[in-house]
Amino acid sequence: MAIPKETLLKMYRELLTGRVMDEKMYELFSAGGSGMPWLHRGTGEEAIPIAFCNNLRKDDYIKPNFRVAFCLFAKGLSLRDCLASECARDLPKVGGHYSYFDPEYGLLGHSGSLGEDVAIYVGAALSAKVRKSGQVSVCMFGDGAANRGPVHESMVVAAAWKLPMIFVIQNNKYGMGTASHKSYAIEDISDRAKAYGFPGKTVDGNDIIATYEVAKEFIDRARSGGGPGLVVADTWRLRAHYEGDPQIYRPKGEADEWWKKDPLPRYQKKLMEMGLLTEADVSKLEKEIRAEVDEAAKAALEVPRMSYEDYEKTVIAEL
Amino acid sequence: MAEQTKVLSYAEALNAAYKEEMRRDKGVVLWGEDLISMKGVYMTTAGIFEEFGPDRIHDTPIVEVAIAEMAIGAALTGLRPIANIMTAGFLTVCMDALFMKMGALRQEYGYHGSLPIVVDCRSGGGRGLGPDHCSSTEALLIHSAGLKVVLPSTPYDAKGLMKSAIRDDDPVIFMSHGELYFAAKQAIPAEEYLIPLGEADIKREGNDITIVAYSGMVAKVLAAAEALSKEGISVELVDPRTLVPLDIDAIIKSVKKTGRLLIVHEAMKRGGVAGEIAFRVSETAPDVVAAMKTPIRRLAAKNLVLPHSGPELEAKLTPQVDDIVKTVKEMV
Repeated sequence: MAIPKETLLKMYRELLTGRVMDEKMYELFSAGGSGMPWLHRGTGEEAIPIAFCNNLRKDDYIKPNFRVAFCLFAKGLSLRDCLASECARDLPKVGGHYSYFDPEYGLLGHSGSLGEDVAIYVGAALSAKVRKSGQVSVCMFGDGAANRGPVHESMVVAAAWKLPMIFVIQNNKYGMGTASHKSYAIEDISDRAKAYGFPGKTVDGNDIIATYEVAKEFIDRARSGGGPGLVVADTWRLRAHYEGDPQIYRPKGEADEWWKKDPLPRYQKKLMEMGLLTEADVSKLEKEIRAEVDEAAKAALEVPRMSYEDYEKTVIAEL
Repeated sequence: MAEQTKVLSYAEALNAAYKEEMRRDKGVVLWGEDLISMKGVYMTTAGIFEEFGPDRIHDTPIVEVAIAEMAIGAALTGLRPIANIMTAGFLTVCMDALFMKMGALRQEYGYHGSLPIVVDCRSGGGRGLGPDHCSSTEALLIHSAGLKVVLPSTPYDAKGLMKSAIRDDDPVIFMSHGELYFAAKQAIPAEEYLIPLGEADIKREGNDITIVAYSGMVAKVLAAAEALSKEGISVELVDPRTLVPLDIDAIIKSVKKTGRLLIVHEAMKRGGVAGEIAFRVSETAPDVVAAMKTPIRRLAAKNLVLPHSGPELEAKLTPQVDDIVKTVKEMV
């Protein structure tokens, strides 16, 4: 299956943007004063949400894993809105508290208690089916969150009702400080899909082309009424759980192997081999994107924090 | 022309409310356990599958968390879901959905839009089947910043309040006492009516003491009031019908008249709704409270777990008609 050249280049631009955004967020967090309450860097995991977004309509539902929510510019959010959300600024729709909530773009929020939100996206899939809208619902969560009860219930319901629902486990091998193999008695998490009665596939999440192809297969199937699926995107958490985490739980040298599999340089090399990208293109793009992201960061910091008076307005009954 | 009415049970009144609202608005959908297969545990969903089909009503697997969380996804994407949870005890299983999502979502995200959800459950005991099946958990739910909480006591109230709850753009927890579904019967007008949330009802007028009671307790208080009237004591029963938003003005108006306040609920005393109501009265109308003839009192279940051994033992924990009569006589 041939991916159109425009899409290949669009995804490269987005993957590069993701990396520049990641670095900008680190810069903003370290400098202090941006309003960013915390930072859970997703360096090296950006290919997964980008590959999925490139197969979705604007009105499809998606929740990215919290670590790579900033990649929602690939779904149509502006860079400014992504950074403003990270900095807990008050945008009219995206809200004031690290939210990425915007029903117009199919963003229905996320859960601090991991795994609960999967059922919210199943509700959206049910809604799409009842309204016969042709929309699909994609909920992306980590290997840690995947063990929560509501995820199990969600898979049971999505299968029983054959909903247009795609579960994506972004397996970065760590649940905060706990290595995933300590929480799993199985090798391949996608084996779980068979138990529920729908297809499951594991893909190299650091290979954006492979991930795009699997995403397309599962999204097309769901959209045409073929029911739910589980994609397990293998990756690795290159950085700490949160900025400030001393990572006492990580064996030394574990990271080195995985830096070699970083999706960005891999993809760059692949596109150059295909004759679609040159060194000059890369330099030009990097320069352009850095300027865009700088601009977006400045604009984001000008978005105000929510005032107490406005906060009170969101109350529904009886202060 | 004479007004047409028909005697309906509480369950039939709810059934009529669902059907009317589902005919009016295609977005209203129902799901929960055994709503089609058994027509709901109390026949509240009889005839709905036949009239509206499989898109509008679903039997779920045993997935309480998903039942509640899915309602959020559906409400954000164009539907008006009624999520049925079999008992108020099981609501504790979906506390994240109720507290951290439905009740918190709009403030968390600064979202000013609507979240039209009804969580529809049976509440309360009477059969001694233990805490899972007999609990009254409304006190837990009023403690959320973003949930409305409704507890009707009659078929007439149930129909009007359910219609309003479905049309409400906020999450509403609708709790119906189990003993009312079949036993409570009342003449219901054929003509459509709605009862707004946040409006109390004076179920009995009186002059000597205000009793605030809701849900299954209303019938017991009315029985106690009958007995008391024979001894010359006149009880005014204020049924708030909704706990959030609370019709505090109606309660204060009555207390101003009678000078005495007793709050009665089936739920356990510690942390129960009575404490909240008493302080709302005291904060809102300190002068009225200062002029009261006797301190505010409450009657509620003892601080014990509901037993799993039949109605006789359970009845020793929860307020009964005799307890109400005795307490009123102490106050008057």
